[in-house]
Amino acid sequence: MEEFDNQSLFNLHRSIIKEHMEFLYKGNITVDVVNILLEIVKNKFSEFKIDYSLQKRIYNIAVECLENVSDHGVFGSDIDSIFLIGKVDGVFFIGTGNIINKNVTNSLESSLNKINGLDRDGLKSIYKETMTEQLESNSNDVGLGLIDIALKANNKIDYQINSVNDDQDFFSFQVKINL
Amino acid sequence: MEVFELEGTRYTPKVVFDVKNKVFEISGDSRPEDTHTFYQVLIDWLSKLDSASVQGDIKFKFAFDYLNSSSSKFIFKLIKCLKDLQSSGINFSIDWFYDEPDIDMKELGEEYTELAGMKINMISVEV
Repeated sequence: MEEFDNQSLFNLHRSIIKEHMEFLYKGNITVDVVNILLEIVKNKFSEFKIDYSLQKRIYNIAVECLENVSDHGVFGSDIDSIFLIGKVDGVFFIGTGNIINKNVTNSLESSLNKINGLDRDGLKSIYKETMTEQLESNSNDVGLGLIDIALKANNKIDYQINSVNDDQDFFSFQVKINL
Repeated sequence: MEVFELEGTRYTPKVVFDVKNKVFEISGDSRPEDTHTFYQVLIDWLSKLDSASVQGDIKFKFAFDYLNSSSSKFIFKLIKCLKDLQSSGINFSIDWFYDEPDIDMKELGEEYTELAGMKINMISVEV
């Protein structure tokens, strides 16, 4: 294995800047870590110099993205999760990456494809339907948070699934926040 | 039964249900670790109210700064509970406060109005 020297550190820093990352975390995303990351997100707002309304939307989306990972990601995996916020040409994006079990991959993909196929009115309508259904069935599946993200971002959700072993996939998730 | 109070935290809202002083309010941030349990406790407490002990006009105030999608589900359940209490003779009116630029919070209040089929007063607050 190559040594991680100061040139590697410099290169890493350069590539983080090149990829427009404003904030990047790699590690387990537990409930406690979610709370810490959200405090950092809040503190970054003064640096971003954005208006109140956009701050709220970024915060909302960050909460849902992080809670999705802490609630539905595989905990204690050897492969860490990631969370990032970036900004390209004034447009913010939020991304997460985490391990999921292959037995949930199909239903997750089908939820995301359904959400991406809807316009704003369709999303609002399915949000209400899902809220009512989940209350009746007492379930806490992933749907409501994803719909909320799509609504608040006012954009499609970009995702990718890569197999890491026979039982698990790495789920990359990204959303751009349209003004 | 007269008073139910919870201090607000960074993750859970402040709650005041005060029958004697007719103050009913949930405010602050809402993303509890166990949303179901948090709101079920409130719903169970409210469900025990009856029209003999709660008389006159009562304002129920929601003033959230932030709430997650899971909370939005249980707040809908709580609003449905208020509707049932209205039917049983308690004269609740609901005020939904939102920061003026926060369109998402405003729209959520409007959705509850439609979903629960009851009047919710939308009150914008200047930031």
